Amino acid sequence: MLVKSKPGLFQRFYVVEILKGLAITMRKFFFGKTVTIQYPEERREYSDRFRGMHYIKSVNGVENCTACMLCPTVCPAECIHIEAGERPDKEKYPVKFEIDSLRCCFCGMCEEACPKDAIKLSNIYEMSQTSREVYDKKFLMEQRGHK
Amino acid sequence: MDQLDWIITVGKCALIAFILLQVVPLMVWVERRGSALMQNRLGPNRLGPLGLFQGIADAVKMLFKEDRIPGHVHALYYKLAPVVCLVPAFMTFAVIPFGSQITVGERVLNFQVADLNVGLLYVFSIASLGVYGIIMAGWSSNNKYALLGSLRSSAQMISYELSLGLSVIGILMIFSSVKLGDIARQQGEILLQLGPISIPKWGIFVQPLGFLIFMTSIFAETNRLPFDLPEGESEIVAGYHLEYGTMQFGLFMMAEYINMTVGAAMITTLYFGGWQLLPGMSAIHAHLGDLLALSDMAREWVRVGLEITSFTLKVVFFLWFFVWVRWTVPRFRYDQVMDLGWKVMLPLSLVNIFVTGVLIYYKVI
Amino acid sequence: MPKCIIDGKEVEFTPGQNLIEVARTAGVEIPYFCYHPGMSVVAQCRMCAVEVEKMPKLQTACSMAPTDGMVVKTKSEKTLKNQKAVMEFLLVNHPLDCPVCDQSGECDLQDHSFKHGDAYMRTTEDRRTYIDLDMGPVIQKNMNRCIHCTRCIRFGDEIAGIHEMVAVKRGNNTEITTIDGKQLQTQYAGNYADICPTGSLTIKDFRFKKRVWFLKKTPTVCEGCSRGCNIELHQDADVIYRTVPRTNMEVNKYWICDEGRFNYQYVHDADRVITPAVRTGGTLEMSIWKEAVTAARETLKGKKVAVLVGSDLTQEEGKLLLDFSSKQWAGSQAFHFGTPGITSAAQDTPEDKILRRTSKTSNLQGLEKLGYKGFTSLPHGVEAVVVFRGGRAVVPEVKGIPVVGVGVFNRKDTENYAAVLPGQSFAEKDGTVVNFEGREQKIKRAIRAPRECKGLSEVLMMWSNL
Repeated sequence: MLVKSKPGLFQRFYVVEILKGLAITMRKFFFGKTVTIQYPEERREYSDRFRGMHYIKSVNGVENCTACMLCPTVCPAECIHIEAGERPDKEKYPVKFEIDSLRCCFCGMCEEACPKDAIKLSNIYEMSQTSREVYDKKFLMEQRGHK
Repeated sequence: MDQLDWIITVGKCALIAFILLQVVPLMVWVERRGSALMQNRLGPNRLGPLGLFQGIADAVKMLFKEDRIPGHVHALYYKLAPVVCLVPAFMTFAVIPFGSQITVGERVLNFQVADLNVGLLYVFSIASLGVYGIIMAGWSSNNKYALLGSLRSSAQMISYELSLGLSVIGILMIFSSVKLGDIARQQGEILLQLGPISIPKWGIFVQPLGFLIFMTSIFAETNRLPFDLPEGESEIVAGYHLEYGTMQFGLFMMAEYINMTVGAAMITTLYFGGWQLLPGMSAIHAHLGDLLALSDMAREWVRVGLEITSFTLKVVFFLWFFVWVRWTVPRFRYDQVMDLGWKVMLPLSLVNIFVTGVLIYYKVI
Repeated sequence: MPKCIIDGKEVEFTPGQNLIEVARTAGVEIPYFCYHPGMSVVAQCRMCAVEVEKMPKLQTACSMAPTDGMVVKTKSEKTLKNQKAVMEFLLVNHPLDCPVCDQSGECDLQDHSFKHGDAYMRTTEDRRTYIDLDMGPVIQKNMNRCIHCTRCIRFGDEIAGIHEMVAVKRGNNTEITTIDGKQLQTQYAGNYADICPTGSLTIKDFRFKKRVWFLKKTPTVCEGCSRGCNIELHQDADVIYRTVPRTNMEVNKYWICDEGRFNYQYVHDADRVITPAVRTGGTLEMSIWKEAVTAARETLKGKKVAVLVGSDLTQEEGKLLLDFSSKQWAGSQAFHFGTPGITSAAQDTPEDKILRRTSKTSNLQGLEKLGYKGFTSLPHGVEAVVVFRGGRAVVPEVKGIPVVGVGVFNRKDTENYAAVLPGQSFAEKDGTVVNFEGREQKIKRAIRAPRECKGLSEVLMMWSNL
């Protein structure tokens, strides 16, 4: 039940209450500690487990990914698009590997589902772009996290 | 009036207009930095030392934006409204004395643009013109939020102008003059002598209740929080200036801050002795004169300088007070504003007049 | 009826059933690899071995005929231990390439490993590897994944009638291959992939196209010939990816032929006419429905019309057209067409001993029943022809007179057409077809047709109302 506090006559006179309030803001003004982070110069510390921009792990330029489609299967935002193909040095590889980061919700389930440790979420959190283009395979393979 | 008088008057006008214009970006900065520090933030701190140039940057941005007029507005009134809002704000300042006078040769130099016989009435009459600008903006915008905002604004202004006017009656009765110069001068008299401390006859000491009412009403008149209903962001978006952009919006904002300055100057003049020296300043004046062995004329100039300084300091304090209150007190609901205006402020101001009359009759003050 | 007891449940059975089938009726699942209900029993994989009371050793359920009062334990310690051991043996040489393998998701080995196997392996040795030979255009082979169940060998021998798959070498080195490394000859090669319990034999056409768990399945009927095999169309996002057989013991049992399996491909042909088109000048130009229907009407107006109805249309459409053409074009004659050289149901004969028939359309019998006559040549005095086609029937050559096409056409079939109104293929509509023995079967819509392709009733309504 909502208990309404009834102001007394003195409080209803307001003037003293307002003065009290003014004292509080003035105290904050002089002694309050600012919590602002000066962004481009100062940066917030993120945990190693932070889930940021995706990248595809590769060894000597060959992607770990075998296009098993487990990440698009598990992806709740349906933002991963893979087309599989075959080439002489690899039985199955992703011809296309696209992530629509605008749809991505950074849940990290693709990383968990991946049997090959190919798709990873890095520590990169500055992902603003000037276009709506999706991340393609080349872009994702060139990304590296701070990890 | 000879030529020199004209030059002096024009010079004073220009000086006041210039200073008032400078107040706006400074106040914007004070408002933003002040509120930020009260809320554990930093506020604008990038541009210039401590972010002081933020106001200029804002002004430059506004000036260079495309001046777009929406298709559904009444173009003439739409364009006129900000001007109608701004001009009265400037005009009011003409009668406010910011220093006493000085006699140079035969010429008496008044630190006041015009010491009108109807000074106080002039202030009220001009100040109430500002509401036309707001009504015009709301009506010509052809938008229901804007109209609601201007309706509220006019209702609020009319309600509080009543108590504003009535609260000043007490001051008029005591100083028996409507000339602001006279009122300021008379506040230099001593009201009480408590040993070494002498209490001057400042408005606040003879009219404490009147001061409270006047102060509250000024807040309401300038549409500042806690009475910013015409803008009411959470209910009617931005109120009467919803459809405005670029420097047209900038003019509204300037008008608000200049109104604030005028309000602060009025409070100072009527209740805080106007240009009367702050306590202790007369001693500084005397010592300074002795120390530097100044001539009489120079002492006069120093006195005037100190007077202007104390006036400025008082005004600055009240400007800060406006900001301070804004970030302390939450907003009233519309019916609460009306309640306060009609049921509390109006009766109280009437009571104030009655009590003042009785006190004057029995020669207490 | 005799009864046996499986896991404490009393189950009735008819003599001749084996233990796997009997257990299934009781809701008890016995895992198996090499057993297939359509082929002979070899009991090679040993996965289905179960404990039978009064028998000292485990018995393979696939080769075991139950007797009255037999007590079978499929969940006993001994049985489970055997299953675990068999799984471990099979996985000793099975590569862990489920992410790559097309079979994963519908793989018996994967399922049974998950259900009955161990999560860890004890071996560290390399797995045996093979070099695979090309097995032709249908089947992709990957011998590394093979578990030697020999289902494919038996299918060739017993069902397809061609002894083309053999097991060479012995023991660990057994290799399943074609004789002399030849390519597969049979017309039923797709079934090799269907019966393979692992990803050893997969369909080349479907290779890496889609993971199977994305596919939505629609039960329908093949329109490849007058057999009317029961099939499932597998689609995702309105794209058909493959056809698999659906068991119907009275029609096709467990099998379908390759022709029927890959018949769906014309639906997604890039050359399929999917917008209304009108011939302006020399070429068929894209148009809008209103204009195309008007042009088609103008073409046929006041002329003696022959109506050619493809025998790949459904019964409903056939009936609709019969009524429509008699009202719309007075004095017109309606013919059915489908396969060159086959003009009546009597000419529809088996092509081989398994499923295939010579009439390459699904509804020849049905249309004949409705009263259509087979098309041999145009009657005298016909001035225009309107062709209705479901996508599979072969349109007879008509020369010198204007032709209007309604239905599914390929751009290269429409060289002399005046107008084409796009229709829906068998995967895009519901309906009934009648197979060669008079069995009425239902085809079901699996995907949405391309946006401008309209159903026949809608086209005809537009035609008569415009």
